[in-house]
Amino acid sequence: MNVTPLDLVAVCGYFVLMAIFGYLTRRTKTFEEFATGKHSVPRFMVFASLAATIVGPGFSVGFTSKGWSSGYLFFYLALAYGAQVVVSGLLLAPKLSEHRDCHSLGDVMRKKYGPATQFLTGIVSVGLCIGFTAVMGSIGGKMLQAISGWPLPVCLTLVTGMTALLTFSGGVRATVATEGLQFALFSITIPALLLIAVAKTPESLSSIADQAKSLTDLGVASMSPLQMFAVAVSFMLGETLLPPYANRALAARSNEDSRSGFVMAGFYSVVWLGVVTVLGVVAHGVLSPSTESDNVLLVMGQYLLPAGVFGLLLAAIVAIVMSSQESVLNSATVAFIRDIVCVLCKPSDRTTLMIAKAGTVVFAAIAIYAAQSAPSIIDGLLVLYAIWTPTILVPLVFGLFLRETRPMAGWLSIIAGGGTTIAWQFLLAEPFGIPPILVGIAASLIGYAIGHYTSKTVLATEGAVA
Amino acid sequence: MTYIFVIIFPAIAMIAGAVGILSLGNFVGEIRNDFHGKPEE
Repeated sequence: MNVTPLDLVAVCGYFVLMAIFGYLTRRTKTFEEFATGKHSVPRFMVFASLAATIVGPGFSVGFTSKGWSSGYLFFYLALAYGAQVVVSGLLLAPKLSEHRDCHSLGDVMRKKYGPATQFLTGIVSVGLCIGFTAVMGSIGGKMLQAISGWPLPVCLTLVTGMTALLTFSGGVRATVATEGLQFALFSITIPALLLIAVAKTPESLSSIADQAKSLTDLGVASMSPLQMFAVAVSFMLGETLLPPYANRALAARSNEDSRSGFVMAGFYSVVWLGVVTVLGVVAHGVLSPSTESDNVLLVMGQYLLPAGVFGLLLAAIVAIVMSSQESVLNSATVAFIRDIVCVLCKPSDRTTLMIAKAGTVVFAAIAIYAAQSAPSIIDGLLVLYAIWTPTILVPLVFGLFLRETRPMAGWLSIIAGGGTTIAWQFLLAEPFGIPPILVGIAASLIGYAIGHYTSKTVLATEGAVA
Repeated sequence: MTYIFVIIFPAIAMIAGAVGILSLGNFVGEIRNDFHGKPEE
């Protein structure tokens, strides 16, 4: 990639700005501050942080690529995602925020189902978050290498190391603050690129609309209805209350802040996906048809933007990667402490904070190693992403709404949902094209019902989160 | 649809980004005050 010194200055300026932010928001005195920021995050920051986490490489570069090849098809399918975030905001997030004594999703599970379910939730959460950290680090590192020409190990370490530094020093509030800055950067830069592209393309708006329609028709023709249904289901259910999203609900200042933050993030995701998708359509009037679809966003930026401003776009894309990475790294540490360490022993608050900070560094190191030398580790960890919703969603939703819950229902639904999803997806290779997530949720429901109606054991005290 | 995508959506996203910068200033101020022990408003 041809990058001018001015562009490089813009990218380096971004990293310097992040370091200054890390300094300004550094230090946490207690684990409570590290994990939930003392439940003090206001609604707009809940929204900005959630939006920054949601908008990763797939929801930016990936959707521009989809717009280039299949018009608005994936935008329409991804409306299910926005709907899911809005519904989560209206129904689930305020319920989560009521648990002011909880630091993680596992803590909520413990209150409802006991330590075994918390431990299982912790295992899935930690593995999933480290896997995500590695994937994001790998994408960000390769991007930085393309920009700077530096060796890949240096770029991987720089991206994930900077993320770890920000998360290590300030916990969730520092993460939310830097995500707010990253959110502002990409929310202004990428739409500005779209406006410049529309101004410079020789095509009129009506011919862009015609182009979009023909590309969308091509996209629809290339997929079967069942495939489209499976994609929409994945968008709708695949990321429901992932650990970083749940942590934002727990860190919110009030139930209302949590609800508003989620609802705004759901609507923003629709707006954002519209912008990046139409960028791919508009690109047809600017770029050669032989352009690789995955490179459309970057190539268009390089073609349209002057030196220095293109550097801002590159910084925005690095910010998109890092903002998602920060959330998952922070969530991995909090879940590790609360749902695994604290289930096995009861360290003092000072020790807990030290373990949390050390855990941040260790998980970042594992992510850097996996991204560089052992992609099979990432593949293994991402299995946990496939089973997230089928394991956690059912017991969590029932736990939030039922007054009386039984421990057996919690762990049985997790094991049934996870085991069935893995078998359906990896051993049976998705028979009849039925999405594994649906089969897994059905199994989880059955497991929950069996546990709920056959067990007579009820938790003695609900509020027992130590 | 295309008109909404290329005119209204970018405007909404850019306004959200600008409001984000303003909110960020307050939030960082709160964190700093909290850390240095100053009373919150």
